[in-house]
Amino acid sequence: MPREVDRPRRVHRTDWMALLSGVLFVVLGILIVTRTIRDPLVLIGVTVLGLAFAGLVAIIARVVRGR
Amino acid sequence: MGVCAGLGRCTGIDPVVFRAGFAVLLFGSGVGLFLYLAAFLLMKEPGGKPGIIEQWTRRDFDAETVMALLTAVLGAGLAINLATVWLGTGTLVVGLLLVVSLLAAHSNGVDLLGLARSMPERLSKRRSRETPAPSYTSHEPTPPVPPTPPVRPAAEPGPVRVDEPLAPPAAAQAAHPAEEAADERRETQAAHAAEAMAASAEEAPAEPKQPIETSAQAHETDHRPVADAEHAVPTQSRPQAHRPQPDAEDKAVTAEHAVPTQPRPQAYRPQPKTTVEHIPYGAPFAPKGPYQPLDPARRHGGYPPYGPGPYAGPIPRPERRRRPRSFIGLITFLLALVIGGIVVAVQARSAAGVSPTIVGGAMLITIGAGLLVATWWGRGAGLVAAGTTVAVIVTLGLMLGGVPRNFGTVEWTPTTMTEAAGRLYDAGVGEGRLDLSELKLTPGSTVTLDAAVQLGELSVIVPPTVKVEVHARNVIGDIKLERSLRGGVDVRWNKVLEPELPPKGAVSTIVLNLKGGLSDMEVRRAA
Repeated sequence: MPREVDRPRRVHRTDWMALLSGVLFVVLGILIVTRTIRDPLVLIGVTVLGLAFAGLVAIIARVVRGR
Repeated sequence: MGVCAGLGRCTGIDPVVFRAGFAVLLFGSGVGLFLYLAAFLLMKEPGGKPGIIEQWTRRDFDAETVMALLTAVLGAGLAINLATVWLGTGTLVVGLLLVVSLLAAHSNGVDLLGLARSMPERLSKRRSRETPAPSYTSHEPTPPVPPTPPVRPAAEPGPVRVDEPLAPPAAAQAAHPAEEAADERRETQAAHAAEAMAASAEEAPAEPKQPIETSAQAHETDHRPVADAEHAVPTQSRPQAHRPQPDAEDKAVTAEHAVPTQPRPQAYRPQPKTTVEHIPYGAPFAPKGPYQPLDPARRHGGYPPYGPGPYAGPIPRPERRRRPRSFIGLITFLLALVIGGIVVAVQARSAAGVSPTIVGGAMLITIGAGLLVATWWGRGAGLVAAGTTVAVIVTLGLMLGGVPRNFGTVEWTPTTMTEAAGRLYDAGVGEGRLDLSELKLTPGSTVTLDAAVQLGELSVIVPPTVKVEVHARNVIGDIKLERSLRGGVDVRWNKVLEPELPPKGAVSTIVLNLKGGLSDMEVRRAA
């Protein structure tokens, strides 16, 4: 039973920064390709806020996991 | 407000000064928020544990490096202020505080130039020495502990200690258990030793035929075992330190006392077990290697649950922390380039031409998908940067209106209305100058001119005798119409400029539609 802990895992723990920013980029890309977003201020605003939110969640996840 | 307190402790300045500075920066220009966040992420924790960015980058920043980075953040805020509003309240506040902080650092004896020059190596300093935990590295270095030593030295001093009752039969028996009983942690062990000695005393008369000359030698040789028996108690608390000595002396003694040592190991067989059983009082029982918590997350850098000591730090294994190289970022990036190229190729055949925005959007989707993969497999930190870069480029493309067609300085001087109208004066990236001072206008006529610049400067020179109707829009930068100026972000200005000099006939009108990206635009009268 304890040896299972040492076994290398194929899947690492959820990287929240990658998850949230990946979703953000996919959604933004779709909106850009479909020409839904035309205003650059909206695009840069959503990008910055989304990345900030992803980073915040990543920090919180790190703190909760106790580093 | 741990950040300000830490800054105050580091610099020797009252933390109230930092609090006031942050408040001024926050309300003055908003840079204070970013500076505070940067300080929170960069600074070490109060216990000396590495800060958040240090953990992410596996670097070790000393106090001066952190202060230099914070100064760099402040400088970047000043640069942003200068780029957007040029001179305003925010710029002055940030610039003033930057200058004050630099002067304060200089007066405190900080070599600013030397610090700036040493920043590359300071930033690349890896955190490798203090892998277990910084608070424990100052203690004595932990020797590499082989797995079995707690058992062996207890087994081998056994026969050595047994020799001591041979020389002083009764006195040593009484004295040494008393000494050993003084040690609380070895109390039961001493009892075992007393039992063992009693057993040996019983055995000793069973072998009365020892030669006399060897018993005389025994007095000489037995002094060492007695001395060693005095060391036996500390030896058991740190078995690995004295391990070689009992081996050597044991051999010497057994060489000279081949006869008496033979039966004794049988009497002291149980002792190794008692020694091992008492290890958990002080340290975790780890027969198969250095102690490690079961939870892998607690193995490195966490607090060892048994405090500092020989078992405090598991042996640093930096190579274990090095995760396997991940190719997901590279693969995704190359895939994004391939998909972008495919989109360009498809669009090149269409009538509308290549739209860089669509290409950027397709690349962004690819990078986002790669990041989703990196959520559970491999690493994707670089992809976040790549996606952000693509998003910024797409934003610039949307903002500036496509790929610039002109670079450098362009000058147009149309002279007739047919030549002037019906085209776009696009300065692209660089400096554009539309000189209308030579334009021949029929009295009372109206001509519409469109001009644009994406990055740079656009100036339009109009004759003094015409009425000018300006519709200007600038994303970032200044618009100057004759003597009035507007600046900032997303500046829109519609203004009618009346003729400076009265025309000979009816007033002609020039309608100027100006569109700018990151640029400065100016409309002025010809001399």
